[in-house]
Amino acid sequence: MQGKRKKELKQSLTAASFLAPSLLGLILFSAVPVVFSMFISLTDWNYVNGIGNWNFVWFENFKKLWSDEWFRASLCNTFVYTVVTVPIGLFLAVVIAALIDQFCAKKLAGMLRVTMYMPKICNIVASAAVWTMLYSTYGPFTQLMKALGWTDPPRFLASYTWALPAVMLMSIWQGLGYHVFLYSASLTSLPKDIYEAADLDGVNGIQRFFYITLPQLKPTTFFLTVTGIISSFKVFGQINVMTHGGPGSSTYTLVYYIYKSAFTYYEMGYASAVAMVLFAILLCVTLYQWHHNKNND
Amino acid sequence: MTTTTKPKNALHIRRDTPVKVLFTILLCAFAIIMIVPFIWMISSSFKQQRDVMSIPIQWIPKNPTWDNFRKVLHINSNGKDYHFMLAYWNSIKVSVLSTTVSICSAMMAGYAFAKLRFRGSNVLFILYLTQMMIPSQLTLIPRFVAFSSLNLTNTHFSIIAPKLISVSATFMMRQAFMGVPNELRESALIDGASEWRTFFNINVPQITPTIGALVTTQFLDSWNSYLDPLVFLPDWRLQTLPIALNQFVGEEGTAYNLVSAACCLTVIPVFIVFLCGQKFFVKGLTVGAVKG
Amino acid sequence: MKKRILAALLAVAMLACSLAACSTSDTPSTTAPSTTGGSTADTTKATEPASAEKPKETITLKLWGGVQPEYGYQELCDNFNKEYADKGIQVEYTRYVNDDNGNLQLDTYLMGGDQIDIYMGYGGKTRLINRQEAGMAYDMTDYLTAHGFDPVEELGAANVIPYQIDGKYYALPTKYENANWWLCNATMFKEAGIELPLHGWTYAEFEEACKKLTHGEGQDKVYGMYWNLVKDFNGATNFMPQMITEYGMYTDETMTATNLNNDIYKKGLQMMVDSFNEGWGTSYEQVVADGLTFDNTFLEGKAAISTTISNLRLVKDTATYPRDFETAIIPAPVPDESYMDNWDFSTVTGAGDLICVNPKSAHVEEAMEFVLWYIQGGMAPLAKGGRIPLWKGFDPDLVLNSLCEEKGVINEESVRTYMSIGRDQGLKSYTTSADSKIKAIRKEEMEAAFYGKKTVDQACEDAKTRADELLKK
Repeated sequence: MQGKRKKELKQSLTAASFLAPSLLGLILFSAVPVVFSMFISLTDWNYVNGIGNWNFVWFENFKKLWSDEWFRASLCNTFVYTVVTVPIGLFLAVVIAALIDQFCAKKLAGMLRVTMYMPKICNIVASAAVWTMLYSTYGPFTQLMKALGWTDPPRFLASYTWALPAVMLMSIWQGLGYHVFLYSASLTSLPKDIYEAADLDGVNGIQRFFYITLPQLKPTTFFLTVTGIISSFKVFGQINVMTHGGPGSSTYTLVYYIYKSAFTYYEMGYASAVAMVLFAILLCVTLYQWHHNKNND
Repeated sequence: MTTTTKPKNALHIRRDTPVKVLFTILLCAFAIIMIVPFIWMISSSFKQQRDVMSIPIQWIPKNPTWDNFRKVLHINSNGKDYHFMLAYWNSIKVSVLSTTVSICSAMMAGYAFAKLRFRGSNVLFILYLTQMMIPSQLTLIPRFVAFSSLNLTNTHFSIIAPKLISVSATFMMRQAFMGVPNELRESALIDGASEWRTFFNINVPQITPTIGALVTTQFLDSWNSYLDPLVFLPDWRLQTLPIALNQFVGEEGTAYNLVSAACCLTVIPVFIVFLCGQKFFVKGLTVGAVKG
Repeated sequence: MKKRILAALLAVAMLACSLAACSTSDTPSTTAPSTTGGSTADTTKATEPASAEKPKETITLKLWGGVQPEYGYQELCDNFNKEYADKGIQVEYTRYVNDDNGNLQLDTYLMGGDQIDIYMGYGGKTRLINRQEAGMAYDMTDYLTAHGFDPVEELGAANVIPYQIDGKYYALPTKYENANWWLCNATMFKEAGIELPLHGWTYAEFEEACKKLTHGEGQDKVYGMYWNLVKDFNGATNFMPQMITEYGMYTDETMTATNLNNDIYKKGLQMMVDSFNEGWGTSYEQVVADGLTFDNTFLEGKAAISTTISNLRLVKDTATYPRDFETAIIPAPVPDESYMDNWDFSTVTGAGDLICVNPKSAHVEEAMEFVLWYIQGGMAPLAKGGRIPLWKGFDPDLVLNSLCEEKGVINEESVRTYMSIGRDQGLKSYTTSADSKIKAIRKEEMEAAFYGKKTVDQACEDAKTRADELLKK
């Protein structure tokens, strides 16, 4: 008995030594901050008041959120951004992945995928800066629109109507390569016998794509939708470089609003409340994903 | 990923040659459109300022010049607040350290979860799982408050230390270690090797592909990281490349040729590394995703 | 064997990285690689040999400002260090960028302790109040009284009183800057045969001049008016509130209602919107989307008139912005003749560059000594960089000379007129705690009008309704 217990203790100690760095990080940079964040969100704390000088207002911040036009705009924009970029991006990606898989030789297919992946590895500031230049009045994008017959294109990033779509287009461009990659990876591992059976039934290419390929890719689509939603809700870089939330509040997003309130106006309490809302939304998405995966297993 | 044993194509349309050629051309055209912004960026970086926005677009600069790059690299001499060589150094330093920290810590934790039996391992694992849901944006404010009260903002430490915990890397490591046969470890332990020894000498060498894949993704992650350094490193002497570029774009926004040159400087090296090491990147990307 | 090496490498890597991670926490600025010698150019080092020999320990004050050291701060610090070498006080200048991020950095350091002794604050009273409430600004009142320096007397009541908090001095303005004045391209005026309106002009005259000065198309278009709406929204719109002499933004001294629907706003905004639509001024959308800045528009000769007088510092920098025209300082226009009698009034203060001392500094006394030295003559080198000292004791001719030392850059007559404007007007300032929020509302509504989302009338009325509602709370 003694020996066994000793052995167990030794095992636990070894495990602890292996887990120590990671656990330290987990506690210091994840668990404690979350609790602290919840705590701050219940106060009206402003950074310049100094640490310790917080004043509990309980749910006042959250009440204030709903009457705050800027918050509502941020939430709404983030939502629109997600609803537009995720489906369009994924649909484009699956079509392109299928076409590449279908028509291109292996070498070329690899090259195409790598080329399309370039925007993703480029840092967000550089790609946003380049797109800002493309969108400027005399920039190539505006010129292209003119050439395509749009006689009076707006100033994309300075227009209430067009600023958000312009940012969305850039985001779709940026994420497309990644999605194509993952779809291609799944496509190669699809069972081929179904296609052969379909071939015998004389199904045409488009039908095959919609009735066989798409359903088969459902797990990948589900995964990409979830990660896409999560990353869309965190969109920040494009906004901070291209539009600064403007014009007006037309491109404010949740993370940008958090950043602005916390680090420009120092309203840490209020910003934490916004962050909690973001957290709640992402939590719902992730929980749904888990629930879904569990049912499928 | 088993890209080598490629089954028949997914759409499986009869391969009519004209159709095939047409689609191949279309796809190639699309791929080129995808990188047109970069082509334009590179071409602009060699232009004189007045040529950048000239109509029609000059894809090949008429009066090519290296001046833009020289200006960008020497920009500090007139007291501006960005310094690209310094930013390069900072970026390399921060990325290398961050990657090392996160991989080492994830490797150890992954090993513990995969191979070691200890009390509460399940509970702990679930705790790790829940951390997946926490966006770094939520912990940004508390981290900022904590670091600033310890006078640690404006240090690279504030960027590197939080990398101790990387849940997704830990998962991938755990997955990889589970693939290593247990017998190897057990026989080593019977031979009297310590757990650490078994870890280093027997298990780690078995998962080098996963490590390679993780290194590339983690490195890219910290190389491109934007929000955290933006908040934690306002001091220009410490700024990493994206932040230096951000500052530069903010101040010189309409000197399009200079901005293009600066963008090139930050992007091209990454492209080169990416093209050389694509194999690892591809693996790093897909390993995490398909399992998810 | 291979595995051994790998394991050893890993162990070394882990050790090295934990060590490195620890060592990075020490100092923020030890990372400059040796190849980049110029990387510390921003910091003016105390290099006087005399001080090195002193047995007494030398105190080095750290001064933070938002301007590049070449615009006079380097010289200022050198002068101070020479003068104070025997007294064992030295000063070191660090530049921070005066944007959100730069101010965050400044505030973080100020909260953190004594890394900064003296700093220049910008962004008006709102920011000052924040810093005062946060204990980041030293109460200078007693020191000033003890040393016989009466700011009202020395700097002018109109400039100082608005920056008092509860009658105390937490900051002193140091620079004369009347936001009611604009910059113009005197050469263009001359070529078009328009006389510099040094003694005031009306909207009608202004419009006519701008239309005359506007020419060209597309990328080469030259605008009559450049509205600096992105980098300095307040500076570009201040010519309107400046004309409201009484009670600032409020209708009366009770300050329970605002006058944001005042005729002056309506006329001014309408004039601006007209300039956008008729093409003789840069529209808000243009400024945002095409990134039109003072540097690439006015200084490139693509606009005849520009707002934001503080850009005088860029006008002075002919090395970075070489050009072949002369710049003059002219007053902003007024709606019509009836305003001409008092076109030079100012309810918004004509002062900027607030100098503050960090109360957590270990050398508050020495820092205050520096502040007085700075105000009473020390800041002279800044005039070369386009900053006009506020202190009464300055010889205006000296300032004029150093401003206009390079011929053909700044019109001397206009500077003389600008500096001769009385600096004591607009004595009383009416402020409430809602000020900054009302200004934010005003800005939002103005933006709506600029983008054409609302008519000017509607925007003004909405601004008033919203601001009044806010005041009721």
